[in-house]
Amino acid sequence: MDKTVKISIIDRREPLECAPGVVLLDAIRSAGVAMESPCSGKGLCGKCKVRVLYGVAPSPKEDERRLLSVSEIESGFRLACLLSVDSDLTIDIPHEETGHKILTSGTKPDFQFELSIRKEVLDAPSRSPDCNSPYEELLAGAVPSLAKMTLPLLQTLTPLDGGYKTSEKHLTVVWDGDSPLAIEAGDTSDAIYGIAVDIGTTTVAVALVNLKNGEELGTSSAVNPQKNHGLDVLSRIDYARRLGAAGRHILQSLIAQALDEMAVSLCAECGVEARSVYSITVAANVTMLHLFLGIDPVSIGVAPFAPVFLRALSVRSSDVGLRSFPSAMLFTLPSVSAYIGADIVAGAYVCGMAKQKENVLFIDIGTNGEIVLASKGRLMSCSCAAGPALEGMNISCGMRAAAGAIEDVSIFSDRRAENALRLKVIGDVPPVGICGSGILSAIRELLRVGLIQKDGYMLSKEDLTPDNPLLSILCVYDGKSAARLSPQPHEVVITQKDVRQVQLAKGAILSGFMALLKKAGLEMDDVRRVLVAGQFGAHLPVESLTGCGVLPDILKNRVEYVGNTSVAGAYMAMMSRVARKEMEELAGEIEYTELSMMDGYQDIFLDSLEFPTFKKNS
Amino acid sequence: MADILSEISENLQIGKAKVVVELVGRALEEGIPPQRILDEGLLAGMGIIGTKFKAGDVFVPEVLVAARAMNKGAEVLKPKLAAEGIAAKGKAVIGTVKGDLHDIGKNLVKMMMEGRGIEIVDLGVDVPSDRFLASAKENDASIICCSALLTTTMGELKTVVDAVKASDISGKVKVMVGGAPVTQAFCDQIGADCYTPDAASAAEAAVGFI
Repeated sequence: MDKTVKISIIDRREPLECAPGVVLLDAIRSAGVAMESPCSGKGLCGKCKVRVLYGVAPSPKEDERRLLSVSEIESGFRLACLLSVDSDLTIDIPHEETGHKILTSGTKPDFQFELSIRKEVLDAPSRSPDCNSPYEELLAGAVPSLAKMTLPLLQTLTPLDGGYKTSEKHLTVVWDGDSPLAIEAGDTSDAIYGIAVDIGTTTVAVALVNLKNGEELGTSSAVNPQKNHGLDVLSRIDYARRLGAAGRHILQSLIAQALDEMAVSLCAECGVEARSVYSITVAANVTMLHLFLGIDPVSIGVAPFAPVFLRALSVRSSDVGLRSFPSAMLFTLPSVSAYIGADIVAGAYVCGMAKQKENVLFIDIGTNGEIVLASKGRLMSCSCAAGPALEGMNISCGMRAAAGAIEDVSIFSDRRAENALRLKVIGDVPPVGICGSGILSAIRELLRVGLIQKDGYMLSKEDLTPDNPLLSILCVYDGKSAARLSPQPHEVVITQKDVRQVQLAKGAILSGFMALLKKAGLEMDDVRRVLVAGQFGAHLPVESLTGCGVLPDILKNRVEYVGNTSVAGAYMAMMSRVARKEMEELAGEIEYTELSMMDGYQDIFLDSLEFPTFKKNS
Repeated sequence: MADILSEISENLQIGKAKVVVELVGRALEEGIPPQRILDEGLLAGMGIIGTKFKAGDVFVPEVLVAARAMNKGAEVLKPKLAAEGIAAKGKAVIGTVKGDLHDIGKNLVKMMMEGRGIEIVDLGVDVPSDRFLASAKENDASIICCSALLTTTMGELKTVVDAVKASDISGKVKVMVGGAPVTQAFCDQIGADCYTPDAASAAEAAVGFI
């Protein structure tokens, strides 16, 4: 068939030409336009919303009717993954993500540098102009341990192109422990750099470090490009399973290329040559490590959740497609279990969890909440499936933390109507949705003023007396009582269903704490410090965490935010061989509890679902 | 006499197991037929909880405490019902599919179905397809309910559907599927008999199959 359909996207110059019947999401992506699809195009999450402005689209499918509201369908909203295009269309992609800040640094303790990378400057061996014996032998004559070079090392030798021209008196050998990494012309002993990396499921953060003094020269971050194939680790594992080796290859190249490009531009910004980077150290969760190294992740997705590998690995960067860094070694940090990855080991290490004399809880809050409890020299961990609700997903008006997202809510129960609500919106624009921190703060406020009860029931207008000033906040949305934060046209509401989603998420996390405390024989009050790590947790104020009962109120004054401890751990592993070794030991010491297999877990979870109660007049 | 039945229903809804047991005993003493106590007291109360759960007005903990109260009340009734030769409305086997360890959602479905008077054989979690099949045959069940909570294990639902289709109970047993990532479209695609988005609707649908 030579007939094509044209898809025009508002704000993009060229329309896309596609074969009729193409799925809109595939068409958008094939044009290189980033589009989120948390469920990886299965018609489950309702997040690949587009608005059809002109043209005729087939009528909405049942799943679209379920995931979109009636008013959305009336205004032309559709789900790109369920819409097959048969004739020319003009569409708008609403709330495209705009760069939100990503945390790149975290708490680090003082420690001794002890690099495994070092440089040795030698007198360049002399050779007569007509000598035709191999350069390898010539070098081995000067440095016996350079005999029988490995292929990657031979590949760093570029004799006529600067390897060791006769004009250079010196040459520099770069060592990683006892193995030579590269041979460079001249004395390059001043230029020695490394890159610390955190590969998150959502975002990638890198830091460029001068290995000579440990100085962080610059940081950068970007969205993990694998995100278009599923937002959470399970959707990505499923993608890899469905597409087999090809899927694995796609995911591997996506992250390797993105990391390579990020690192190259960071080097350029800081005036560092990519070939002077000798160490790239990576912390990540177990699925991300498998995908980055091109290792099959499928077994991580099904019980008994056995990964292919957990230990720390050291390979040539070029082996995994970091093409711009031919001289660098890649080191990946060790993990504990399929759901307690190297990112958590890194966090536990930089927070000194093994050395804690008190009872300390460490938590990285995200789609999965990973928790480590240190108690009397024992380290216990678990992972709880919080789901994406706390990140604004599966929430009626939920969105990512981007411009237009409500991020904080205050309710004044003593004021009338329009003054009763105060919103903080990212980018100071009119609100179009609500992000994770906004949802938690809204629910905290609704709980505080009593519009949501501790069992999660949201009051309706009939439950209030006619003179109650809070009446103006309640509305009817899809036939049920809801709290309205912002009016039409971009109505933002919190529904009963949203409250239930948050209740499940907070219940999952709190139940993880409770389960570990139970195993350790501790009460909540025995916990002296709570360390909140990670990108997402950093945006959640203590009042929201305790106000929604993610954390019990008793811990309110014991919470500390420790930042991106994953990249901090990668930094430490790069700067110190001792740290590297200690992390490997730590990974072996952390015990892992699979919550779904723990006796009595269901009861712990049920107890954790209850919201906190507030004293009257608070 | 109807008062005591609605009292049973009300106390069941707020999870007062002790009171429910006491009231069921008293209703029997008053000579109310056990079948009527079951239908208009216990199952009626559980039905209301089911409706409220579907609407989001009550949540998992409330359903579970109500179900516990119902089970306690049903224990008192059981010998009486048996003595009168009254059997359960039908039988279903239930479990979470192989590779998946989540059981809270599955337990909810189980309780809602019990609340509709269906006898449930619970196979637990990580259940391979042949166990679903063997248990359905052994118990002469008319429904197999399987749940999958992970994107990575929902494919296993198809394995169960296919196994049933290839067996000699094909056509005699309905396969119901559910779980967070499952949709009606997925159900159609794998050829399962029924999908429901929540536990209360699952129980309703199951009653229709018996």
